[in-house]
Amino acid sequence: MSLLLTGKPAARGVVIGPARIVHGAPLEVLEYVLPERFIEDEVRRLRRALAAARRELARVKQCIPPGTPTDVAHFLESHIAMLRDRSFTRALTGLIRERGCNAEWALKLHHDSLLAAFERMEDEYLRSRQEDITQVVQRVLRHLLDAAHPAPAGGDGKPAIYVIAEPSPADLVLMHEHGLVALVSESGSPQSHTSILARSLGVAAVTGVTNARQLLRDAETLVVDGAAGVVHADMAFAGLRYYRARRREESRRGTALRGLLRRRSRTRDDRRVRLLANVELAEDLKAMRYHGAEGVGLYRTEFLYLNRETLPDEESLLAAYLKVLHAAGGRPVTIRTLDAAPRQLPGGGTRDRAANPALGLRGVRLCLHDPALFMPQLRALLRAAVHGRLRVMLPMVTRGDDLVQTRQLLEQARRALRREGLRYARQLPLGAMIEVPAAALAAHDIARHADFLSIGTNDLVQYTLAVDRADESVGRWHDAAHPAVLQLIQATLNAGAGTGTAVAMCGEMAGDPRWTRLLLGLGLREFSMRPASLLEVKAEVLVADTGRLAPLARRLLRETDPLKRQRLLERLAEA
Amino acid sequence: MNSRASKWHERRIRLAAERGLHVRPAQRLAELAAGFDAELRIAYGTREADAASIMDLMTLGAPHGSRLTLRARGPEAEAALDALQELLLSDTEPAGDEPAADR
Repeated sequence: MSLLLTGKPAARGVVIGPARIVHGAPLEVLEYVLPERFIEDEVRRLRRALAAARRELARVKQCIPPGTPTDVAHFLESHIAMLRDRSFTRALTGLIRERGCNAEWALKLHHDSLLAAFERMEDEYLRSRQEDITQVVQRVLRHLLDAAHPAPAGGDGKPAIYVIAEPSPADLVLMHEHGLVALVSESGSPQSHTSILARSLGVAAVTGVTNARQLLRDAETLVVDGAAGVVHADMAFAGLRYYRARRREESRRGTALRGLLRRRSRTRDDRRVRLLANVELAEDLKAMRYHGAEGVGLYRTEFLYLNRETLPDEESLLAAYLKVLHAAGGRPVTIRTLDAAPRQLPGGGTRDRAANPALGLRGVRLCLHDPALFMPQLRALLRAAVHGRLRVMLPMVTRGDDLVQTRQLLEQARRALRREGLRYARQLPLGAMIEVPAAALAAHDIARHADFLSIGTNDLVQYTLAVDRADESVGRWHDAAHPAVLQLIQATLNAGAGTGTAVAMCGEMAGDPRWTRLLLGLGLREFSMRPASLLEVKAEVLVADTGRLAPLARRLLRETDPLKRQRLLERLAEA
Repeated sequence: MNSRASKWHERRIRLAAERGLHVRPAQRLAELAAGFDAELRIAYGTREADAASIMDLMTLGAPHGSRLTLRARGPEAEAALDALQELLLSDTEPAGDEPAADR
């Protein structure tokens, strides 16, 4: 008798292994009265547990793979700060000394009084943050109760498929170290931090499997198919054999992909396709070379502005840009100017009263609005361009005039640099991101002023469909291949072809091998993506025949019937 | 406490942070406060917190727009008050809470 549970696909991969059901029962705490002479030992035991919990989180932070959104790390930093908090430590040591109780009991008492303070809060959001306190307290308790095995879910290091209510990102990293090979969670969405982290770690994951912990038995053999979002239990021999074969095929495929590293990226009908990397951190630069990118198609500069008291100056921007150019080793690099809203900048909060930041002063609008923000970037870019093949890309462009104004400022910057006797580039290709519907529809006008265009599909899909991709409740309306989105992509490619302007794509869609053939069929020839996706996309490029893909892709532009669309997508996959 | 530390300086402000003094703003405030040679307290309603303690600040439960009283004493009391005031009057939501474009 086979049991099939369905959830949402959160991270791909086929895994066969024993289940470990994690019940997450509350840790039981008992009170002991300690003899006077043991009290200082107990204080030391508490301090050791606090330090161990801090070290644990610091190590987790180190394990977060590059490219993971920054708020995962922020959340860990906050918990580390709470564990280091002197008034927290003072309250706990005070309780141990006054009551002569064990550290666990002091922690419980203090936790109770903190929770009471939170319960009195009127503001619902602030009240909900007691969750952070509880998570920190639980972490210390685990270190006190079982210093040898403080893993959040037990675990003996043997490979296991963890079945759990909803793990935090930190716990996922810890379980990964204790043998987690796949994750089945009852709640959480594919867009959650934990799911994003699972993908970064290369762990198969299925989320939203209701009642998984009741329906599955500890230690029974499960099959997790992350891409399909399903979990099999009690599987018949034939089924297991099928999945074992698929698993072998996946690992062969991984080896085969490495073999593509040196292959030139051309379609079967000999069309040249450029495959570039999206880069943010130093680790991405390493990954870019490892996966054989032909250059950097998108260098994000926002992180240069995070966690600082003041704006970065021209020299520090120049140093950061040069580092990327150097790492690219002569390959082309596209740097995107700051793509942020005022509230995301140091000391910028007071300026930002936008009711709807997504439609407000952000991207190139903010830079044009505030020359003190834009000028140092433009000057540093002009200076950096002397040392490599640099292109500059503007985010959130909606009209040709955004480029005209930027060119005027570039000219102004050149004059100033000349007066100061500094070296700068006379030529600096300037491009526009096409990421709002208006830009795609006005792509002709924008292309006349731009040296290249780059389609940012994440925002383009969000703005076109009016669907926030992080909002689970509208998840089924999120469709990168919606005809409206495809038509905007096509309009941009047409504008590029009509004006002789190169068109690239740098959103998630460019790095998703499911869409490679469709995009090739529409005429896209330059893809920029997470470095880890490069070889998978290359595998699709090498077997594609654009002559056969084009008519199918064109039909998808107009086809709205879901069944016919499905059929067309299947035919694209086989063409 | 020695005599130089005995005089309390005081400021009253309204909290700008959009979602109130939750984890991240409290962390930033505590880190800033810890850098001054001054004893710093923040009061909201009847509760008072050590400004250098993230836990204390979180348990104030101060929402957006709440009236806070800042108190400081010590050699750097005035400078500390200036810095704290600036941080509390700016909306210091951490970047990265919003989905960034094209991640």
